[in-house]
Amino acid sequence: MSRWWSLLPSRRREKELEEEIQAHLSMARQDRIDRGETPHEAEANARREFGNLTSVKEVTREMWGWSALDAFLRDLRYAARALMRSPGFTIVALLTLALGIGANTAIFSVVNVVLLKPLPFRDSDGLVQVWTSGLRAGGQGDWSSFPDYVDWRQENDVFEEMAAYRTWLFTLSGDAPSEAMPGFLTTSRFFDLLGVQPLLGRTFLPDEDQPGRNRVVILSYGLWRRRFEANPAVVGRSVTINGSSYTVIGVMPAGFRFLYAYPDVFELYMPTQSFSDQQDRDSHNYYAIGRLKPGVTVEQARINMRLIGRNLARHYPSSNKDLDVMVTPFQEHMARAVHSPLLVILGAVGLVLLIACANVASLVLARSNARTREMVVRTALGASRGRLLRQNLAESLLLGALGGACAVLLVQMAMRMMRTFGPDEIPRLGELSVDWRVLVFTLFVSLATATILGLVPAISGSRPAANEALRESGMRTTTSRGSGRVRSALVVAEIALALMLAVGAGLMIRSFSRLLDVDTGFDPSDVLVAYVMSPPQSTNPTAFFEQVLERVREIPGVEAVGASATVPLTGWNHQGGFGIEGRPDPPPGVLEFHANRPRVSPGYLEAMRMTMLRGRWFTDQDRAGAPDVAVISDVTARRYWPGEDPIGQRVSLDERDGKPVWREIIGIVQGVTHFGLDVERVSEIYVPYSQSPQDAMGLVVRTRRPVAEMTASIRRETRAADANGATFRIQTMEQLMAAAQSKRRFHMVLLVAFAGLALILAAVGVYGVVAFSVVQRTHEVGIRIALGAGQGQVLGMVVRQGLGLAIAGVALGIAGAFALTRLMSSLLFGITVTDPLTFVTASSLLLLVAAIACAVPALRATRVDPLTALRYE
Amino acid sequence: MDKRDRYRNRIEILQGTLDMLILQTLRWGPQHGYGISNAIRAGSADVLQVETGSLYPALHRLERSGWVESEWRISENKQRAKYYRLTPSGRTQLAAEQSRWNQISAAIAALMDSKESEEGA
Repeated sequence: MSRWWSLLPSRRREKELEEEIQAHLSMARQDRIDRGETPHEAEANARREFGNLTSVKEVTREMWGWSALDAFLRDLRYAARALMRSPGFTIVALLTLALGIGANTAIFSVVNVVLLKPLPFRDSDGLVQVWTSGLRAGGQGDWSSFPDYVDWRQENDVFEEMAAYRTWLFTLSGDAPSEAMPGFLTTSRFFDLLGVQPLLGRTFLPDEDQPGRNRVVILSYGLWRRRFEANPAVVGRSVTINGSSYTVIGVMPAGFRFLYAYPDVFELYMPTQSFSDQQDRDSHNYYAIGRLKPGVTVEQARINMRLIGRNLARHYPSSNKDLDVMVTPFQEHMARAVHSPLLVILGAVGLVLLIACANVASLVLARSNARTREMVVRTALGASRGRLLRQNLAESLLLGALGGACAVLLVQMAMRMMRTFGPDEIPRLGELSVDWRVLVFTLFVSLATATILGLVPAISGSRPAANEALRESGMRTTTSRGSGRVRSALVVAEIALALMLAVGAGLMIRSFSRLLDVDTGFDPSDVLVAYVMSPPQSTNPTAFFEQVLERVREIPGVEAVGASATVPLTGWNHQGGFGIEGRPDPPPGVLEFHANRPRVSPGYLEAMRMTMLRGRWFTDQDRAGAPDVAVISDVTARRYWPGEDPIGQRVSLDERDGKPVWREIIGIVQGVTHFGLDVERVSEIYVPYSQSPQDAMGLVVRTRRPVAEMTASIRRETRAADANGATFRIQTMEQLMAAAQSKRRFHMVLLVAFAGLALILAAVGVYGVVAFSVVQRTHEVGIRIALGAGQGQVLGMVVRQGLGLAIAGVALGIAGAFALTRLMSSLLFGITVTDPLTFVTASSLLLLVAAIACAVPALRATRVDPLTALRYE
Repeated sequence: MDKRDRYRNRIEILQGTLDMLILQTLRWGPQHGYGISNAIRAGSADVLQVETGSLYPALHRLERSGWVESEWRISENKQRAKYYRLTPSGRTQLAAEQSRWNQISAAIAALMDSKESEEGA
């Protein structure tokens, strides 16, 4: 029986308690009547003897196991009714909280997919990237040389397994038209290491990266669907890749992706093909990954690999001197470009939530002043202080929970936008979703917010003074001095936070405008870039490209056409060392003379609209057999020939028949931004492609014709030049520019949106406090007007109050911004973290917004009718 | 008896002791809350008075502990009331509390006696 007791529904138990007490009372009354009291006396005495009915019930209820929960649910029901009674307050508070929590959840969801959500590989926590640092090559530089990788794999005792891979461009020919596509060359244990299974067939066998056994290929799901009509019988079939025959051994599943922060979709996986660079410690063309042995930490792996790196440096000083081996968790490594911006943005959006909290807290305070009478009455009726506090907390919990729920809805929309507009540099944006981590985060943020809100009235020390409040006439509400001060402090804090965000956003805007102003060194408008692969195993690729260029030039609407093996902003580069005639070779291990070395056609200068500074550019006469020539960029000239005339000097950057080719410098061209708009220009040495044959060239086509039409024409002409020629990744230069700006644009848009939100919230906050105090001071204002104060004086009085808060906030905010903006220095470009223009503009903007927010209630104050105001008394 | 006297004569019942008194009262048969409080007052010649604010929480607590169980019955004056009854485990508990109480009161009595005899000497 007693066990059932606790399972009884609370409503029934409540009824039983009521009946039990009523029975007690009625028996007591009956006894008293029997003893001779009048029914009236008996009733009164029985009640008096019994004591406070409500409190007896309350203490009895507390003996029930579920009593705390019941009480909480009762509080919640009461809170819901209270919130519904003041819909204005509820809507504003909910909206503010939903925006604040929603913005945080949205950014957290990005952090979640980028940094927290495990990669779709077996135990992805154990995966690390192993790479060589100290390379002078520039760029991201997370490459390794193949011989180093082989030594690492043999020497280490921290990895269960290691694998190396590199990206490569393949031409697939055969039944359908030739097609060029990027793919991977991997060592044989690559897939085993990741722990992924193929959809069809198998992955590589342990020795399939050895010569003679490596004529096998695995297809991506997309390629299998597109080119092989999803035919399962493709496994075992032979396909022609780069002119040789390979056997298809497997197809990867649809979701398999290895590298994320890349614009390309990788379509083929092939074992390493015994390239010559696999013997060369100077060619850092490979990436290495490893899987940590169970129980081995990244730090232990680092120590072990560093030691191996030192040994290699001792053994091979000419290539490995000063090089260091780095070990980074794979997921962290993948996200390294967005890691710090994301944290800055997460911080910024946290500030927005603080402002939202301050705003709602201020509302809650204003409301709790208005409810002083209610609270006083409840206190008088026996509600304890703790009980009122619990009630407050229930209300804010309800607000927080509802705000969080609305936030999740908002986040769904935000996610859709981010999936569409997010830059490629942020990996896995496509996987954005509200998963349990996001929900836990939202819940946590909502609860934290609610707790802060619930405690504010307690902190403000606005303890209703029962006597005073009850004595007030019904019309006026009292405000305690304490709560007024707290609200002012909240507004000052809000303004300070909003200013910090405005400064952050301003710095981003300034950086971005600097980025847009970057002189690329070429004219990116009306240019189409198309990579073209020469027919596989062609003996004379130069002749093929000459034909393609000739044919494309003939396409109607083409103004100019040129080609470079490495077109700026496409991610392709051809960096390497070079020699200068008459200067000693740099000491071993130091890539002293280093440049990007584009192989270009004579038409390239005109097609790109680059600027010749001195000397001359290449002509059709600078071909194979003619004197070897080179053109250098101004950056190269300044770096390697300071105060000298480089024209006429000779450089060597390649070999012919085992001997260095000495090229005469014939001109200086203005340099271009190659690696990105915000990356410092590197040295460049241009070489005629006919004197240094390439099998892939990027066509640069200047035309105003529609892109789709032009793309088809270029494809057609390429095939017309040779049926086995293939095009790959046709894009406009403007698309490439937009991609180069997209990451910063994304960060800027987010920060500006958050700062805008902060400004609005701060304005609402200032308005709320000033408007409230105008209402409070109606009486005072009335007296002042009655005593002859002019409109201007009243206006000034109110605006002074608001602006005083604003100025205090701005001063605090400037100090805060000075302290915080240095954290975002990695996000800035072309300006300093203390950019005075930004600070001044942001401060003025905030003061302006605050002034406007004050003006409305101030004008209302001037219209106070002294008679009405005084009649309150 | 005027109001002041009533207060002076009333003794606050110690927490824990009340449980024992309730269990003791229930030894004579099932009883409702009002009956229990009357029984304690009558049994102590009006010295011990049980506040309803202590009685009902105590009853509900005892019920939750499984020492008493309750059922609704019609009282002698045709009133539906909730009757509490001692359970076997309540009986054991009562015995335990009683022996503890005996120990305590004996100890206190011994202390008080020795003090008196010292004074007498």
